[in-house]
Amino acid sequence: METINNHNYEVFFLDFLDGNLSESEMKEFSRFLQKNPSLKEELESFEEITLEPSDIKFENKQELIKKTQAQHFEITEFEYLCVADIEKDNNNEELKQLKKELSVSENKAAYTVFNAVKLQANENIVFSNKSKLLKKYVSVNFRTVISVASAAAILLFFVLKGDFVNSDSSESAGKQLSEKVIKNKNVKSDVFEDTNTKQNINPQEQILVTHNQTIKNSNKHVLAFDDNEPQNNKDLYKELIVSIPDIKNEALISNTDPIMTPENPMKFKNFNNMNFAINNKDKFWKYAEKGIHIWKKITKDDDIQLTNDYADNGSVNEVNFIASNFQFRKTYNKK
Amino acid sequence: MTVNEYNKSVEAYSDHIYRFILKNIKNENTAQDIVQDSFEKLWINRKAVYFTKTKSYLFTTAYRTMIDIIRKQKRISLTDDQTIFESHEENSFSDIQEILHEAVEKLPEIQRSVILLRDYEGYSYKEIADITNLNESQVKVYIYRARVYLKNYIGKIENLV
Repeated sequence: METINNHNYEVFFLDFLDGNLSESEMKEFSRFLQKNPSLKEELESFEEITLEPSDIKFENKQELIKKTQAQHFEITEFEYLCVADIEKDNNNEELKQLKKELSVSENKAAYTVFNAVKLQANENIVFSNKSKLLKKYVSVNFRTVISVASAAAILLFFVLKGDFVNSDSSESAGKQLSEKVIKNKNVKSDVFEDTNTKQNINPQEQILVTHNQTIKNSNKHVLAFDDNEPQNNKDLYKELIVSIPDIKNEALISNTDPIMTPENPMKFKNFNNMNFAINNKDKFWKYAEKGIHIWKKITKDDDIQLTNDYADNGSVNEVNFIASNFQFRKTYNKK
Repeated sequence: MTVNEYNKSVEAYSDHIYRFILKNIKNENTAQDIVQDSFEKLWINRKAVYFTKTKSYLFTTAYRTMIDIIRKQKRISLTDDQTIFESHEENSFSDIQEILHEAVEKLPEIQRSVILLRDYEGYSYKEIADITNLNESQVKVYIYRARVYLKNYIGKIENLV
């Protein structure tokens, strides 16, 4: 360190005040002050200038302090451990601490009381108006609903698909169709009359005109439903929903001679009073029976069944429809 | 939820809800009204409530209805700063449950609700939080404070016969 003089004495002063001077430097510093009394006074004035520590305090100190669990719950540490034990919230470290605490007999007694603090519901307190809350309901067998709905859908399908038109509309449709076909083929409308006349058929008698066999075997008849019919006629046939095969079948039932020849067409004494063995009602139930049969095959559902009882002439005597708990029975003719 | 499931809920939970509400408000008629109201709400919303969630739905509805009624009546403060400690150290009780239920009545409203849900129904902190619209930490704090209060109410073990 350099020697103290009038040019650097301030540095020595600061080091002196901070207590940074060594023993040898202190001796030299003292000798310098004795030789320079004016500087000694200056040093003394330096020493008077000191800052006192402030008494200002950080007021939010509490907010920075981290609370223990017990402090957070505003209960003692032991109380926290006891309740946590009841609630099964203690970790291993806390369990060890609790065990340690319980070595004191007073704590053990308190712990016993804690364990008794468990509320039990009084089973004698019951809600007396329970019946008012209950809702009434009808037990619905879903399978039954499905079965009945399906059966109904099938019945409806077959009813709409079949030719359940009354005799008047059937006749009307047939007549309308014939007229259109004849018109399309440019055939005279009196052909039927000519044929009937030539064959000496009673005016009361009429010829049932069907397609295929009769058409091919007779050149005297104008046949509405030839296999070679133009497409437009076939379309017309579909449009009018005339079920020719059914008419044919019905005719065959009453035909005593199954072999038809031009000389022996199928005849009926009186077409208007033709005694069909099967009427619409019978057809309905027949189709329904088929529908149910198909449904049972598809679904393998034995809960649903339709059994019809037929008379010898094919008419329905009785129908019996069962779908699970639902049953419908209708008797048309008593045996 | 089907009608059948709704009716099962009536049989299974109506008593529980009634007890819970009755313990809180000590008024049979109001408790019955709250139970009926809760089940009516369940019936109205039955299509949106799964059967497995029925109990929680009923307790939540009943609790909130009860809170609304309490607020309207202004009978009970919902804060827990009115805790008045009353020690029964000088008494002895023949039935611990009897004194416990006496002590429960003196608990602050919110502490009473959470301790009843915890002990009567065995609900978790999370479930109680959902019912009471608190967070789990709050629920835990209230349960701990309630237990300490009940323990101090009972006093010494010698009081238990």
